[in-house]
Amino acid sequence: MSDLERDFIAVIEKNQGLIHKICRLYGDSEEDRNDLFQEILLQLWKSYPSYRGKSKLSTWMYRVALYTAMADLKKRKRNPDFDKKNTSASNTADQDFDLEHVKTGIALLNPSERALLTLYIDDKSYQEIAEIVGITENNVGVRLNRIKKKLKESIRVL
Amino acid sequence: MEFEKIKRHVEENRPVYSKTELEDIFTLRTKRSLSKINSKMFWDALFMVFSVVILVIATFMIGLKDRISISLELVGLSAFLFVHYRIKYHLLNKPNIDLSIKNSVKRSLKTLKTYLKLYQILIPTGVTALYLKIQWDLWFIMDWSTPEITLRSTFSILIFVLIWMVTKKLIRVMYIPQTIRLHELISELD
Repeated sequence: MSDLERDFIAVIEKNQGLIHKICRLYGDSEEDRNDLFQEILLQLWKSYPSYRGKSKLSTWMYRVALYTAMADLKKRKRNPDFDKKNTSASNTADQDFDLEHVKTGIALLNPSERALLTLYIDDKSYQEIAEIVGITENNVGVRLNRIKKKLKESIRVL
Repeated sequence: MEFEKIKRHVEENRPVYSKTELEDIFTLRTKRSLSKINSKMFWDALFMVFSVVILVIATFMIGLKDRISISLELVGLSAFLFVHYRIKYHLLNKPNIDLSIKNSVKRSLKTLKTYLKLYQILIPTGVTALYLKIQWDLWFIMDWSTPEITLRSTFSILIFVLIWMVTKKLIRVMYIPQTIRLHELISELD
């Protein structure tokens, strides 16, 4: 293993929580999450040599990981089995009512909304979220309110 | 309240990999995936080089009068294809994510669109130009009548349209789903 590879593994080991959080919010099954983790690792490794340290390491990792997760979710949504798989997972696997709320709520969100949610629950400031996603701080606030409404609505329906 | 529940759910169910597990994932999956993509492109490029070498040798073995100019044309065509491979390699292996997600998606889409435009124009133009050049060379050897020359020239239009349609179909199958996904991501972020 080269020095760069060892260095990369150390960075991943230290910041893997960030990737797992994203996988948790974007993957609908254990298989999806494992695949997404590997895909994110691949994208991080591809762009690792070009990381110049212009932004914080975690910010850069968030960008790459969210970019990958958003594209991956879009790809999976095109699969005709996506809705079927999603519904059956939430109907059978969840015994906990709260967990069912959470999963149904997350499933209602589109890829970019999941990105905002991921950053928000990781206690990122509006400024950091805006910087990572590429929208204005005001827009972050507006969108987060919209997400809250969506989630409330999903609970009401259940 | 909802956010808190989600936060708890994400935190509670988070697996943590050991360094050895991460090394295994990296070695077995990441490096393998990357080397698979790159080796596919490498074999494509190698096939192209071999084809050019064989064609150049063939022109010399047959003893064509214009073997040098034909060989140069083949080398020129392979140089063009080499540029095509370099762009493809950069698109696949060097994502620029030093920008925000929105700007990265926009940049990827712009690069992809430019590449596809060039691909769609240059491939039929190159093939038609090669066909015309061969016809031009043959014209000096063969004694063609005016209708035959007209017919062969008109055929080049057919070749251009045919190759253009095949390239367009190829792009539609290979790249359009990716373009649509990127468009959707941008509109979601707008």
